[in-house]
Amino acid sequence: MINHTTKRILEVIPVLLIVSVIVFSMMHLLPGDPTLLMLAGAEGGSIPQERLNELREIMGLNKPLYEQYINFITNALSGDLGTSIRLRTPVTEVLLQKIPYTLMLSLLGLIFSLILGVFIGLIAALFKDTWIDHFSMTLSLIGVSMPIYWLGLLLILFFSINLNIFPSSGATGWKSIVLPALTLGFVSAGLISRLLRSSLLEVLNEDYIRTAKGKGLTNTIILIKHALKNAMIPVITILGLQFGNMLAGAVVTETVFSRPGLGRLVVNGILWKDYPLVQGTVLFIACIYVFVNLFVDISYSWFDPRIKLK
Amino acid sequence: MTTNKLIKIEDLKVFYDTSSSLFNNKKLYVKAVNDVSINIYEKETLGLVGESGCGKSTLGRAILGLRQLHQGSINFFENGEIINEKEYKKFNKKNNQIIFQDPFSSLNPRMSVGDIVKEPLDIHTKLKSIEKTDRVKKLFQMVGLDASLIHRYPHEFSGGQRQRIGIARALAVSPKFIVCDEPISALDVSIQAQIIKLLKKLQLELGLTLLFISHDLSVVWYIADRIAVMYLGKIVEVGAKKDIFHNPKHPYTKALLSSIPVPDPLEERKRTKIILEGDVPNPANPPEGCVFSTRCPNYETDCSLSEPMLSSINNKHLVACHLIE
Amino acid sequence: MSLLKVVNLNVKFNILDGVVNAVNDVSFEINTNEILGIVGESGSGKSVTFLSLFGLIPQPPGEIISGKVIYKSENIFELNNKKLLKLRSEEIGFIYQDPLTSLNPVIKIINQIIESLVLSKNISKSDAFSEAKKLLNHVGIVDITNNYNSYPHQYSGGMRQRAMIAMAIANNPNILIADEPTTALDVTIQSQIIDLIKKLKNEIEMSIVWISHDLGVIAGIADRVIVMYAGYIVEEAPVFELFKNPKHPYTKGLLNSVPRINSNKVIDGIEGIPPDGLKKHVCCPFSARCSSVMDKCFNNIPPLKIINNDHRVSCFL
Repeated sequence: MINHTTKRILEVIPVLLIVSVIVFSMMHLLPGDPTLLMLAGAEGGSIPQERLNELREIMGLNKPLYEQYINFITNALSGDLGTSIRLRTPVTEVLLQKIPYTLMLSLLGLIFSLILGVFIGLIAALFKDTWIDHFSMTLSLIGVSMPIYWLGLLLILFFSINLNIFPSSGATGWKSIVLPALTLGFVSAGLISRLLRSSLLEVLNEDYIRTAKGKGLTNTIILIKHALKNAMIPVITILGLQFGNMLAGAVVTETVFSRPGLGRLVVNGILWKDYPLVQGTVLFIACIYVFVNLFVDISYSWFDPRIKLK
Repeated sequence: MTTNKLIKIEDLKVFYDTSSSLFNNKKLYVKAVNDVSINIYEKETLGLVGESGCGKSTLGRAILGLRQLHQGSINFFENGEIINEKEYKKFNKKNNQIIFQDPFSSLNPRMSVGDIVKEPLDIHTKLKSIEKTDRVKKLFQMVGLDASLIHRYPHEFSGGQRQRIGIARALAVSPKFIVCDEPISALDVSIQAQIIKLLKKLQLELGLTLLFISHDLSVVWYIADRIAVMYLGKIVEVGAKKDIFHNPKHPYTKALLSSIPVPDPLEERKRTKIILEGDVPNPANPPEGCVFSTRCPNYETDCSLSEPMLSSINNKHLVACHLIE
Repeated sequence: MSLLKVVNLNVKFNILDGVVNAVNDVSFEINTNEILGIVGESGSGKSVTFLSLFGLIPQPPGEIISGKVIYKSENIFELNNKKLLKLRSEEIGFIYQDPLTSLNPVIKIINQIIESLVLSKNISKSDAFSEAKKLLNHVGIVDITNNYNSYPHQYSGGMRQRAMIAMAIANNPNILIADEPTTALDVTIQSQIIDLIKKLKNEIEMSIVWISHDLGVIAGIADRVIVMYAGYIVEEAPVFELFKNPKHPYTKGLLNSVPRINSNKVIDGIEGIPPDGLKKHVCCPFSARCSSVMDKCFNNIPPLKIINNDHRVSCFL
């Protein structure tokens, strides 16, 4: 009898396989000669045919498609994601170098969005229909609607240029991560606050809250111990998705703030037409996303014990 | 009540598949109806009683073709002749209807009540619009509602009134057989009486056959001719009303009857109730042998060895118990 | 002897469609060591009455317009928050109709009981655990499968109700409010639970308020009965007297709506539909459905008349 956790872990495999197929086909589905595009991007000017042929051989583009795919997969599984044309370094090496920046940013963004989102959602629910509620919900609406780059630029304008508190770019020192994390997390905070507000309002009307009151518990204990744990369940559910959004948002955020990281790597790779780099990075980001969601799913049953039975 | 068979149910099994994932080969079934054989006769009201999880609702819906049969057969008869498979579908829709338990969720809130009752006519008959409206008005009157209300919406009515609308809807196509699935459980006591009386009156006037599913034995006493008692997917006792209530044989029936509170303080406090220990077993994993063996006050070791079959004590009074044979 | 006295309680709800007068001028007493049965159907105000006594109805949309609740020489409505919480945790216990929704689904049952215990007793965590286990055993729950680490959804309906009972009596309350405690249970389980509560009452000296629409259950367990309709008390009497000698047309109608097994008596029911509480009554609340209605009934609310010792009726007849 396979239990829930093992089942969930095994379900990751087909997902990753499909992702790998999509990533692999990127290079082969686009029109034009990939080698030409790659070298033109890297070296510029006109490229002699021999160089193109040489590259074709090195990249194994003359072999049948399924063989290329098998090679791609076997290489990827052993950590070899090819070599970047432009940077002339193995993709894996580049990734490992950049990943701490992006992870740090995404994590901080997530934490920030949780703290802000829960706080706003909480006060909106507790002070329902007052100005606090209306103001909070307007704030979260702005958060959800605001494009990341716009928010980023606004924050730079205000905090860096006018007030000179935080730097507008780079990755040196803890101050440099504040504005990017804020930018990244603000959108997610908007979503979380709306979700928590409606979830909490629903929970506060449930019978078991009345039971808790009847037992003589204080309102604070009822809120934190009885209500919040139930109300957070939908929020936790979307946390995994939110992390995915962080990774996606990192692309724009890193560009706006000129921070190193996977996002910026992908953007540059696209500009350089550096296929192996783009392929490797996208595959890598996809894997992170899948595993984070897996982790959230498994830990979900801690929050709601009714899930365990499935 | 006649002796003409309307429905013959043989060795019926209705199981729900609860096995969950792709990787799990072992099938886990909830044995909702587990080997039931019974006949329903024309113009009778058969009361089907039991507590939650006994399978009575599933049985009612299986008869109407609303549940897939795992094993066994359900056959309908008209004038003594069995309805064959080809004609069954048409027969079913026109002759069999259902009244649901919850008057609040069984009426579409976006349709006027007149349209709700008219819908079966739209689907199953080729009457003209005026004729249909006339029939709807007549049906309203039959169930004790003013015909002028047909343009109102369900939320404008009370629970009891909505249940009357549900009855009118069931009667629209002049069915022969109606499954009443706990039709009054969701209503106030004073309204329950109104609806039971209405059903009884309509049954006599229209010559209906009713399968009255309920957990409330006092109501079943009032309305049914014969009674079948179910426990964990099986019929443990069946017989005429007087036999079941005056001379119950199965230990479960006895316990059930003794548990019914009587609105008379003297009598209620005088009685010794048979209090069953424990809870109803999991229908996905019923006990070995007799399904009631885990809670039976008269339990003997033989009871866990084999399943007792329904056998007759006297004319049409059947019990499934090893100790009564 | 009087334990709790309610005087002229009026509660309303402000909803979209208007104002629902849920409790109208209700006065009664709960005596020590008695089981007081409250009978009524939907709209009778029976649940709202007792929830409002202890501040358990949401205000808004609810509103206690007027009234006093005297308990141990104090008006509960005038207690400060700290005293009110103490009252709830130490003096009153509650059992509700649906134990599945009334127990927190994400907290273990034993922890919910421990929560009650630590409120009044100065007791260590481990002591509380064994005390809670003892309580569960006492109400008939022996949780071998999960070693008492179960969540509400892992218990059957009957077990959940037992758990709720354990939680309610954890601090030896003086008054136990049981709001339709067996309505959602199967009838054989209902017998178990009624039996359990009877047994507990003999062990703990407490008064029980048993709210139900089931006349049979009330007949079997109550000492005194109050009948409510549309937020008013229409009749009040000791149990034997009420069933033998019902005076109010509603009580009579109700008794006449329940089929009696082995009797061929025809049941009548009561014509009309249950009250929705939206109208403010200047007449007898039952006048629209009463078979013995007179002109007088449409113009005045009948006062509570004392018939004989302990038997009160609100009717012009």
